[in-house]
Amino acid sequence: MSDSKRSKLNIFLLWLIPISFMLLFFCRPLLAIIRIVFSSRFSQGWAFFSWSQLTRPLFFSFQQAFLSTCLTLLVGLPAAFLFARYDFPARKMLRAFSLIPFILPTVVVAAAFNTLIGPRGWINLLLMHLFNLSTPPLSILNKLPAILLAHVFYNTSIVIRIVGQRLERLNPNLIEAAYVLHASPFQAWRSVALPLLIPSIGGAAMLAFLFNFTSFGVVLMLGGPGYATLEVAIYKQVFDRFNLPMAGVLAIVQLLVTWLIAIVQNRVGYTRFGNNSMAQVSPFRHRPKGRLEKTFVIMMCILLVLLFVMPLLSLTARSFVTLDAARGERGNVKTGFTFRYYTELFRNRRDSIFYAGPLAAIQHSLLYSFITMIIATVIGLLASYAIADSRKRFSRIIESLFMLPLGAGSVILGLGFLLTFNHAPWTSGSFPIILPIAHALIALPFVVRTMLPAIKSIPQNLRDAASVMGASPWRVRREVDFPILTRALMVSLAFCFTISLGEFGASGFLANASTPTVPIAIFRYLSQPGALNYGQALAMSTLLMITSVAGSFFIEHLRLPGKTGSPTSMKHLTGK
Amino acid sequence: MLRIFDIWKTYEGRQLLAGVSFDVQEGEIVCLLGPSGSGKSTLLRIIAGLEKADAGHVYWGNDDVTDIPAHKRGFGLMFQDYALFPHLTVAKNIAFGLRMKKHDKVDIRRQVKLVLESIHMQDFTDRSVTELSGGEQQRVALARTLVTNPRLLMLDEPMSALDHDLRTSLITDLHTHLRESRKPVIYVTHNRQEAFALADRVLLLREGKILQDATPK
Repeated sequence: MSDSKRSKLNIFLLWLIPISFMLLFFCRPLLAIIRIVFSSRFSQGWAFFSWSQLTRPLFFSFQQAFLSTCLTLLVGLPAAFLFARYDFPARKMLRAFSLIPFILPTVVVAAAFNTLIGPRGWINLLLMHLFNLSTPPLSILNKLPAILLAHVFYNTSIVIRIVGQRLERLNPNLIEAAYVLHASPFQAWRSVALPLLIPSIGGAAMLAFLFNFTSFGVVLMLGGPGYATLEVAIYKQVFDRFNLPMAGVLAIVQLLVTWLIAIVQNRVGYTRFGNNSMAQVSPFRHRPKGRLEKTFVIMMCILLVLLFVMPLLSLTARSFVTLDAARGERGNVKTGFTFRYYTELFRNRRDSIFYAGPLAAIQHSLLYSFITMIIATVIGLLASYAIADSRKRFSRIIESLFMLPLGAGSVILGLGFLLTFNHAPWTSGSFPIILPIAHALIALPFVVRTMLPAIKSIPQNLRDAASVMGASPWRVRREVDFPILTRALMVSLAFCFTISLGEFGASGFLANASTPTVPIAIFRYLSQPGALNYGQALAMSTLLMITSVAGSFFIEHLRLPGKTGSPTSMKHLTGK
Repeated sequence: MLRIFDIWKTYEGRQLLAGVSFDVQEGEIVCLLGPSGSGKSTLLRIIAGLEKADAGHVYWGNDDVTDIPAHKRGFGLMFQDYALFPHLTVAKNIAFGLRMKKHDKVDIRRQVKLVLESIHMQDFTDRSVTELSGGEQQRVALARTLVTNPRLLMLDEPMSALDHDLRTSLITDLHTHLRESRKPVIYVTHNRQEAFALADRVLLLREGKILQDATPK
């Protein structure tokens, strides 16, 4: 066999595993969704279909996404301006805080807002105490404002990152050139800075819109029964109405709309003005001068502390405090500091082997994350090598295939998996292997986005030098590639771990009653009465929050080859 | 015409300018020559009104313009990296200053056409400035500065972004343009030959002071 033939065979073999994985676990579930719609259509007509069940969630998805995005820009743009232009005490810390929400699992966010504005939250408890009320006066939980608030909390970090980065690196000479050409400061901002920022503002807005549109956990947990986005509607069709074909219709509509938004987002986000508009440093930043600037900085700081620090602090604090009665307890409740919610996590109260307590959930979650790490990293590594080794045009098409799970969303994956794999051998016994596979699919785009640039950054002449010195192709990989890729590999593993640990959408479909994950357990405990359940949900949320923050800290601080030091996780998502 | 009087400036604890004074007469081309970091660019920025001096004054004739903001001074400055607006075409870059001065559209179009012809770039009207070569960018930047008819023209290392061969061919061009404009010119460079080829007077700036004030030739 000639060398070129052998290398073609090698590439083919390299492709075989990741492509089969994608066909089996991504394409097949999607096809199953399409199939169930059409087969039901032919066997029973349109009996399953109801216009209002499609249009209502579709309209609500658009409505809340539009409102959330507007509010996000309203907070995010001044915040981006604040961080890019002003130096003030604790700037770094506040900025770090404002970027945390993006990486938090939805259950944590839901739990955090529950402890702040919920019926048992700090604000209501305070108001009840102050005015001697017997019922919580503030009831925005289970209503639209709670959803909007959580979405602003989530997506402001997108605006701060994307627009802030652009703003920080805006070449100050351009603004000054405008001054010298007779532009007033206002005119200079309007006719020079703003047009240069518009693509990044548009890109951030579209991305925020996309996330809001596909919002699942937040709407399910913070919105009441009357509020459903398409994803929540899919979930309810499956579990409340058992109407799978209708869920399929909603899923198809959802896919079409999100891909449409993603295409527009790509167009908007890719307008570039060359390097001329970018400066390497940020000479723009200065201490606030004058009353106007100082007021702006102080007001923004207060707003950001309220929005970003309060919910997280509130969650942590509430998980250490007993304030109301546990189920079955009556009379005077001892209020005060407690570790009880944490210690209870590790105790099986009901003495039942069928009862899956918090400890079991933690064990399951860790096991699933571990398997997810292995599957996603192996498949992602093979796929990245295959993409890096094959011809450009082909590799680009395939690369986008591996990005698709990101666009499909976890709820649709969950539905597809439920339709395709809800039988032996996939669900055999007490261990649903399909769950870590679903998590691996969701993590795969992140792995490829991490590994591919790292692989491409290895200079070919290093490999050539090794083979000239007598290393076989496999030996070259082992001696040259792998040591260089170690860091990227660590980042991939961290991505898989944190994604799997916090994943809620697909898990909601696939975890069975006896094998819940931590997010699923939190979701169940939050909705049950009694202080102990509530407290345990908060304790688990706090632990999950700490793990996620630690994971993303780890990711951000391992600088990767093939990239310059800027934060990575956002880049992975936006593809920039 | 322009009189710079006793300008002082410290930046991040370093004495950048220590009592700089000089003046520029009508139609005179003055070169500020000095090594990098000698405070030349900062001095230009102070004259343009983009930065405030710690002490000292800038006079135009008998008027003290020290506290007048940049956009009202009527001085032209060409930046070292040209600072062409990447979101605007060649013609729109040149029209920018006229637009800010609220000239009417017909007049703007006429003037832009004229100035593009004078730099032999009439075919570049609707091109994006990011597609231009270094030499072309320099010409557009100069045209953009000249078209607003500033009373003083300042150029910050206009040749530094160009390679050597291009430099020698462009310098005569630039010289003609500057002469034809009949405006007082301050030209900042660290290149001795460039300074002596262009200037009526060369000011040697070192350690924040003017060490020498001489006419070449």
